[in-house]
Order: sequence, then structure tokens, then C-alpha cells
Amino acid sequence: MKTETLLRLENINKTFEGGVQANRNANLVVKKGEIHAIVGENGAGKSTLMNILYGVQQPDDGKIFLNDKEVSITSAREAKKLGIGMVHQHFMLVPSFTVLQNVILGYEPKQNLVFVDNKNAEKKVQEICEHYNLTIPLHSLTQDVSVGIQQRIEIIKAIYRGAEILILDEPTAVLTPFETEDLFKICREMVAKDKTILFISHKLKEVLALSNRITVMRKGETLVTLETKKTTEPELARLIVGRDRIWTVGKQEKSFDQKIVLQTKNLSIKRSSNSYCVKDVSFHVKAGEIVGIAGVEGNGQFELMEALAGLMPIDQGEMFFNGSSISKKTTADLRALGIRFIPEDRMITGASVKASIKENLMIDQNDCAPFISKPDVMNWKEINEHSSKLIKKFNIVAQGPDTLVGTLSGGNLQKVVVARELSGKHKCLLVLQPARGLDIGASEFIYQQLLDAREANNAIVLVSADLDELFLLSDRILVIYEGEIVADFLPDKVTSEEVGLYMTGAKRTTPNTGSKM
Amino acid sequence: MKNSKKSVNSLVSILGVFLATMLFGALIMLMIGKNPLQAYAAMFSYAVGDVSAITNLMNRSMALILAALCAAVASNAGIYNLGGKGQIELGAIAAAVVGYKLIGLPIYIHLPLCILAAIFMGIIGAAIPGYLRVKWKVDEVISTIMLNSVFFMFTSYLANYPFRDMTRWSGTTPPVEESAKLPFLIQSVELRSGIIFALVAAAIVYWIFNYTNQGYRWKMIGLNPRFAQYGGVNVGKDQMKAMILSGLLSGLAGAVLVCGSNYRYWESIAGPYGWDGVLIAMLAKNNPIAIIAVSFVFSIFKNGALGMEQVANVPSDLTGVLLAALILFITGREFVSILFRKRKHIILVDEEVKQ
Amino acid sequence: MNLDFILDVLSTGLRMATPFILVGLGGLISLSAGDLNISLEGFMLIGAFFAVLGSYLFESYVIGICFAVLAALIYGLLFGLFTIKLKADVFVVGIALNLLASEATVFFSRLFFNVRGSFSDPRIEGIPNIHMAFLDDIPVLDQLLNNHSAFVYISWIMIVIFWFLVYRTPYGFYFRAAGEHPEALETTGIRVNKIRWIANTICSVMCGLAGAHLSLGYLKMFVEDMTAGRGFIALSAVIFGGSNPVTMAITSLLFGLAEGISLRIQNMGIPSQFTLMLPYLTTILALIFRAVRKSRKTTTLLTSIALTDTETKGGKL
Repeated sequence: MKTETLLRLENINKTFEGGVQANRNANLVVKKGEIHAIVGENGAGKSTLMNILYGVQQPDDGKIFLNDKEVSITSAREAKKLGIGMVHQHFMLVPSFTVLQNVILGYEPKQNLVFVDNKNAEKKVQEICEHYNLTIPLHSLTQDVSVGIQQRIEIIKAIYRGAEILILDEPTAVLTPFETEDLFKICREMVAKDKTILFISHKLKEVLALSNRITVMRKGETLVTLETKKTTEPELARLIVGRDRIWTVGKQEKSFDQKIVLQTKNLSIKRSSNSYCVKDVSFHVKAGEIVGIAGVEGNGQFELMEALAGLMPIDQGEMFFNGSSISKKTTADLRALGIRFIPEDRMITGASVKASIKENLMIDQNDCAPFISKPDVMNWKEINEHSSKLIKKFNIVAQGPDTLVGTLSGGNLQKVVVARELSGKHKCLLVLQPARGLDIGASEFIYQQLLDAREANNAIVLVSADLDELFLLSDRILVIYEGEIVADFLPDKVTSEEVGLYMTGAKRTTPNTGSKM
Repeated sequence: MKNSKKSVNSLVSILGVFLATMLFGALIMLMIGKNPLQAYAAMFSYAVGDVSAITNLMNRSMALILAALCAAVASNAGIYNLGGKGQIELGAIAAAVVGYKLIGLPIYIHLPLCILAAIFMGIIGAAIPGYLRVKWKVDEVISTIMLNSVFFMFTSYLANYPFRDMTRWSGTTPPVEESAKLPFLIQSVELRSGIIFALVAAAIVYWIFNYTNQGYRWKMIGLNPRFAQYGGVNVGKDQMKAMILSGLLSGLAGAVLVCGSNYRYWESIAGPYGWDGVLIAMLAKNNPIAIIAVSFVFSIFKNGALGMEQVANVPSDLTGVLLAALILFITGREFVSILFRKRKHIILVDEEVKQ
Repeated sequence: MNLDFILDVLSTGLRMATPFILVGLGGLISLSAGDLNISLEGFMLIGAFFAVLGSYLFESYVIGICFAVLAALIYGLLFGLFTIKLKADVFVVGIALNLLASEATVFFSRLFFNVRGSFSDPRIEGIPNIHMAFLDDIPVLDQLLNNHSAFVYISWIMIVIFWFLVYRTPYGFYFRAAGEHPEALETTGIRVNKIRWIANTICSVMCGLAGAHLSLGYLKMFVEDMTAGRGFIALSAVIFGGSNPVTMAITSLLFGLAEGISLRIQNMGIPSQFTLMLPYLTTILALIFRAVRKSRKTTTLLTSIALTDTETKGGKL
């Protein structure tokens, strides 16, 4: 292993509009020929740091040194000239192109100054493939090849364009375990041939298996850089999820009635014809119980919730509400039964930003008394009163029911969503990352609402990647990993480090869900 | 109410652009050596100067209002209907055929039959692309444009072969019976009550948009279909309903054209109404009241054109150029102001897309 | 029906297909770069008028063609300004430009020629027909392929040129990438908007040429709204034939044939409306076929189609 420093980032600061500080004095030293992992939670600032390195975003201050020479990277084109390549989480491939065409796009070798020299291109790409022991079907259509191959195309594309440093952004998020193994082989092959890799991941096991050094990020800061050999999974998990917040809200101990409200049996949802995003999930929620589902984003929790809310068709298994099947019910049916949904994406799914507060509050009850006077005529007077009442009750800072939702702050916008979901008939709440991006005050307010709903005997499913939130609110914590429920804990019998290990795939059991109380 | 304040604002800004367009027209007239004041004065006097001018104005406006409502109802619910032209043709020929084939019926049976036939055909014309969109996601912009030509060819065939008026040299059905004509408003100048139909239709659409449950759901789908679906709205079904109402309005436009002013179908009776309707709906931001205002402005321009030509010797087609310029000015103005006001925001969004 | 009649119909079809091919090739580039230009009709009309104007003023068809191309380019500038620069709705701009073309050409013909309806004059020099002597003695081919207007042959050469442009030059790939996955192109450092401007320019030139062919090819006159829906038929050919110039051209030939047949049977007193309907009807059927197939197929990548979705255009009208 060589020790010369290739890349150095010093005191990078980046604050977004609206005051979110994504990077705080971030420092990073990358050595030539190493696989350098960067780990941290969502929102820890990994992506921003990498975007700065790739020229997509500009830092507020701080310096970047490449081979000890200060550089300023103002665009992706610039980054490429400096030999920095990036494989995005969402692939930048044109579906109807052949694999070869995608690799050479924008950098085609020419023939007679005008035409694309396909032979030469193929030769060049073939050379790269042979050099790194890769095989890709150069002449297949990109839309026909698997996700793993598509990722390989991205890697070859970056090398073809002269990348010496390769940034892989959550590369395993979309891969099957088998494909992940392949990717690791490719990575090792590349560093053996003098490339340098920056590997962004949540999954500790993979990071430990692959990298030479690991940098942990938390809240925009680069906490520490460790030699992989000298660290352990529990240490990393503790560094990543380390907490210091103190909450003023908290759940009351109570006993549940034993009535199961929501239940899934062997629920599976396909991502494509041969892979699953939700696999064989069985769990249940009792009245008055908050069941937390911990998981790193992209492990199927989103699809699971959408399916329970009737927004996504399921492929196998069944769902029950109060003992009767709801597998084939529409969203409107489920809402009528009392199943409410607080989605993660409040700007697009949870609210209509171009509509007013009262219009947002009415979306699920627009045809119910007392909000319609005669059949099919809106009773705006009643709706205005109702909206004003909710605005007051939920402390929404707004001029009135006619205020456009898009003009509200994030916390108030979320309060509108919660106000709507808790104002109608509700027996079961599906909640996704409810406090994401909110300040402490707004978070606590939302939490209190959820706890009140629990007191009112609602069955609540809370999906989050924020362990603090889960431990604070949940009566039971399940862990979802790669679409499967891999653990089932009582919050007072487990540490957050332990849960973190399951979330990142470092540990897994196949629990007998439902057997524990 | 906040809404009305907003619509007043947008009306004021439309008037501003309208004045700019008049100025632009004046410039062109000066360049070709004509007198703009004289031309504009002639335009207004020919468009609204006397009772027969008013008749022409009403006859043009009623079709424009209905065609624009047809476009507005659909796009307000997040689905485009650019097929007004073809649907109006279908409605018109249905009204014309029922109007001349059935003989000896009293007006209170015959006229409603004509209108119902027209509405039925209009609905069929709009429901086809609507169904294709809702069921299979066939792009309704393309399918409605293509169906315009298909329906036009179909009605042209009907008017040239099975239902042709043999006394005319081409493409016309025989005149409809007296019992199929709309009642008079002013008998001396043959002004019939088509405009009342258009105004009532606009009022009803306004009411639906602002006061009914259905109107609320359409608005929510138009603003954010994902949110509407999440809230339990059956997006496909409601969009289908919007297309049906849209088709109904274009069928009605066909009926008032035949029963209210032309008394027969002839090829391309829908003429420019279909496309103009889309533009008017866009300019009026789908607001039915604004649609009435913009439609009258359009009609004044088009009907006054002859005056400009005869009095001030300005080619009448200048008014068409001015209308097109008006539309481009408005589209441009909106986007220019958005660019200036929200520059920061747009850049932010771009970055999010890149990530 | 004898052989002469069939050959006559086929030859008319070839002739009729020429404007579809020229406009279609332009529209194909524009659509693959992501812009559904529904004002091809207007572009062509502008070209047709200015071709007559140029030819009339200078008694030269070459200058007429130059006028046509130049005018279409200016029109393209307008289209690009609104859709690319100001990000205005592409359909609204398209409809407005169609309206503008149809009114402006009449306005100008009043202004310059002081006539309305149609304008012809001995001063207008038409584009010459091309006579190929070696075909004179070959019976069938002579009737079919000989003595067409120059643009008929030029359009066939254009098909080959455009095939190479789309499939053999980098720009062909840039156009398609700009329409299908703009971010992928942007991350290679190529500005998507620049590519859209280039596509728009190519499209304008082709529409200008088609317009010149329409007014100077056989008729040597300008008639009010003489494009008569040909722009929309060309648009159908583009949607039907996809981004491949050869399939687009074959579609255009079939559509041209449908027009040729219509023309002949109309003279015989048989309804021609149903043959005239065919281009549009087949395009709709093709759209349905593709949509049904797509709805059955599940892929991990978004399938290509440069057409916008309701979610992006919802309520913008």
C-alpha cells in the first residue's frame, strides 16, 4: 500500500439556502491507490462533500488540493479534466443506446473528423475491459441489461474518460448480494492498477470488507478517519449514531389491549421481474402500540408503507385490517376504514404546494359531511371554520385558510399534513420520517401528536432511519434490511449500536416476528 | 376573497400586454404608411358599432367561449384536449343532420334533439382520447391533434356524400328546419340566443370549478396528481369525467354554430375556433369569467379587421398577426417575470435535479 | 385498372411524399432532442411564402430557396427563444406560431403582391424538373422515377444524409440523449440547451426547404394556407416512424401514396376522405399499440419517449 497523498480537502464549509449547514469544516485526506470509505447517516453531509469534489456544487470556503496543488473545481467537466469520475446513485445512461454508445457519449473517437469511429471506440473500451478483467455486452441495448451491468457500464465510462479517482455513491444500494460481490472484485482490481476509489455507504459490513481507510461523517463534520484494520463494527456504529439530544416529550408506560389492528402476512413487492424490494414481510401492530421500523433508506420501507396505504400493488402475501383482508382495497377505501398515511415526501405526495391550506386539508374528506352541503357542493363556510380551528390547534403559523401551502416553512407544512391525517377518522397511522429536516421544536410537536394518537388507541407504524426518534417513541422496534425484517426488539432491551448493526447489514437474525410482546 | 383579487391582478396585467400589442400594431401600420388611429377607430366601429355588428360579434364570441371552456375544463384537470376543432365539427354535423332530416316536429322537441345529438357526438370525440390516456397512458396531446384530422375527414365525407345538399356545389348539408333554430334575441338582425348558451355554460363551469366537490377534485388533480391520488382521489376516473364535460362543451359549440347562426353544416365550420379556444383558455388561465372577456377581445379583433381594411386600407390579416403576437407576448411576459423573480429558486431546483 | 394508372398513382405518391420527408427529417431531429414541435405546419407555410417572394423579386429559384430557408430560420429563432430560452409551454408556442404563420403570410401577400387567396406571376421562377436521359428507354422506371422536381431527388439523398447524421455522427447521439436522458448528456459536459438549439436550427432549415418545394416545385404560386395539414401529416410520420430516418421516410412514402390515391379517386368521384384519414388513424393505432405493449412490460429503466407526462405539464395550460 502506497502512502503518497493524492487528494486533500481542507476546512470545507457549505451552507444551503434556508440555513441548512451541510458541511462544517470538513477535512479529508485520500491516498493514492486506496479504497477510502465515507460513512454516515442520511444528511451527515457525505453527498454534499462528494458533489463539491465533483464540481456540481461550490463550497462556501475551504480548499481542495490535488497532488499538493490547489485546484478549484467549477464544473463536472473540470472535475473530469482533473481525473475525477463519479458513479451516481441514479445511473446516467440513455436507455435506448447500446452499451458502447453510452460509454463513449460525449467523448467519441472520430473518423474523417465527422463520423464516430465505432471500431476504434470498441477497441479502446475492450482494452479497458480486459485491463480490469471486466466483461460487458458492448452491443446490447442498455435498457435490456441488469442493474449490476449498468453500474459496470458507469464505471467503465468513468475510466474511459480518464478518471484516476472514482467516486462511488451508495453503489450497493441497488445491487443484489451477488452483484455486490462482483463490484468488490472490480474495485480491488482497479486499485491494484493504481486507481483510487472513494466509496460512500451506510453498510458497515461492506465498508469493512472493502476499504483501506474509513472516514466517519456526522452532522456535516468529518469526525475521524480510521484504518479499517484497526476498527470494529460496534465502534463504527457508535460513531455514526452517537447522540446528544435531550427530548422533553416521552411515552407513558401503558398496557395494550391485545387487539391486532394491522397485520401483513408474507408480503412481497417486486422491483423488477427478478428482484424484490419487499420480501416476505410479516408483522402486526396492536391498538395503542407504536411499532418502529428502523432501516437505512432504500431498503424497502418506502414501498412497504405505500402498499399499506393502497398506493402500490403487492405481488404476494396479504394485508389485514381488524382481521379482514385489505390487499385489494383502494386508497379511498383504506382512508374510509381509518388508515392514515404521513408520507416522507411532503412537498410532492403529502401536500399540494400550489393549493391553499384549506384545500390541502380537504383532499381526503372532500365528499364527506359536513364539508359538502348539498350532494356534490362544497360547504366552504364550514371548511373555512374547520381549517381555522386546525390551524389554531396545530399551531400552524399562517395568515389563514387561504394561504398557499408552498409559502409555509417546512415545520408548518408538516403540521398541515399531520393536522389533516389526524383530523379525520383514524385508527391506524402509517408514518414515514415525520421529523425529517425539522427543527427541535417542530419535531417535538409532531412527536407529541403521535404520542397523543397512541393514547387514543391508534395502531401506529413509524418508519425512520433516526434511531433517536425510534427509541423515543416506539413500543417495539423492527429492523428492515434489503426488504426483509431482520430483527425485532423491545427498545429498553437493546442499545442503538446493536440496532445500527442490523440496519447496516452487519448482523441479521430471522426473527419470529409477533412472538414477542 | 383572495381569489378575486388575484384574478383582478391577472386581468390588469393582461390588459397591459393587450395595450402593448395595440402599440406594436400601430408601429407596423406606421411602418407601412397607414394611420393607426383611424384604423383602430374603424376596427371598433365595425366590431361593435351597430346592431348587426353586435350580432356578428355575438356569433363569433359564443363559439370561442365554448371552445375555450372545452380546453379549460380538460387542462384544469391535468389532461390536455387539443381536439376541440374535430369535436366541434362532429357536434355541428350531428346537429345539422338531425336538424334537416326530422321534419314536422315542434321546436321544443326538435331543437333539444339537435343539441343532444351534437353533445353526444362531441362527447364521443373527447372520450376516445380520454379513455386511451387513462387506460394506457397514450399521450392525449398527440392523439387529440391526430383525431382532429380524422374527425374532420369523417365529417367532410358525410357532408360531401350521404348528407350533401345537392343544390350546392360542395361540402354542405341542406339547411335545418325552422324548428331546429335557436330562439331569437333580436329578430330584425337575426341575432339568436347562442350567446346565452355560451354565457350560461361559462357560469356553470365557473360554479363547478369553484363550488362543487368535482371542481375541487379536478383542481387538485391539475395542481398535483400524485397528491390527489394519495388523498384517495380516483385520478383516472375524474380525468375521464373532465374529458366528457370537455367534449360536451365542444358538441354544444357545434350545435350553436349550426342552430344559432349558420343553419347548416359546411366543411371546416369549426374553422379556427378549436385552436383559438386553446389559446384563449391559456390566456385566461382556465378561469371561465376571464374566458368570456378574452373571447370578446378576440372577436373584436377579428370582426373589426374588415373595418381596418376598408377605412384605413390596412390589410385585415394584420389583426391575426397581432393576436398571435399577443399570445407570444403573454407567454413571454410570464416566463420572463418568473425568471427574474425566482432566479435563485430555479437554480436551487436545478441543483437538486443534478444530485 | 391498367398499368399506366397504377404507375401514375405511384408516381404521384412519390411526389406527394416529398414535403413529408423533408419536414419529417427536420421534425425527427427536433423530436429526438425532446421538443414536440407542432408548428411544423407554420414553419413550412412561412417557407412557401418567402420562396415565392424571393423568386418573384429576383426571378431566381435559388434566391427563392434562400429566402425560404432564411425566413424559416428566423421563425425557428422565435420558437427557440420561447421554448428553450424562456421555457414557455411548447404546445402553446406551437399553436401560436401556426396561427402567426397563417395570418402573417396572407398579410405579407397583401402587402407585397396586393392580392389575397393566391398569387402567381410569370416572374416567379420554379424549381426545375430533372430529366434523366438514361431512364427514357426503361418503360416502368421512366414513368415512375423520371422528370420529378429537383427536391424529390434531393429529399431521397437527404434520407441517407440524415441516417448518417443520426447513427454515425456524435451529434446524432447527442440529439437522442438530450431527448431521452438530458442529465446523462449534461454530466458529460455537453449543454443540453445547445443541442436543442442545433436541432431546432436543422428542423427550421428542412421546413424552409419543404416550403420552397411546395410553392416553387410544381405550382409556382403561393396559395393561402397551402400547406393544408401537411405539417401534421409529417408530424404523424415522425411519431410513427420513430427516430430512424429510413422508417420515417418509408412511412412518409406510404402517407404520400395515400394522398396520391385520394387525389386520383377523387377525380373519379369516389370518396377520398377515408384514404386521407389513413395517416392519422395509423399513427393513433401505432401509439395505442406501443402504449399497450409498454404497460405490459416492466423495466428498471425509464423507457424512452420524449413525450411529456401529465405530471410535468399538469395545469400549465
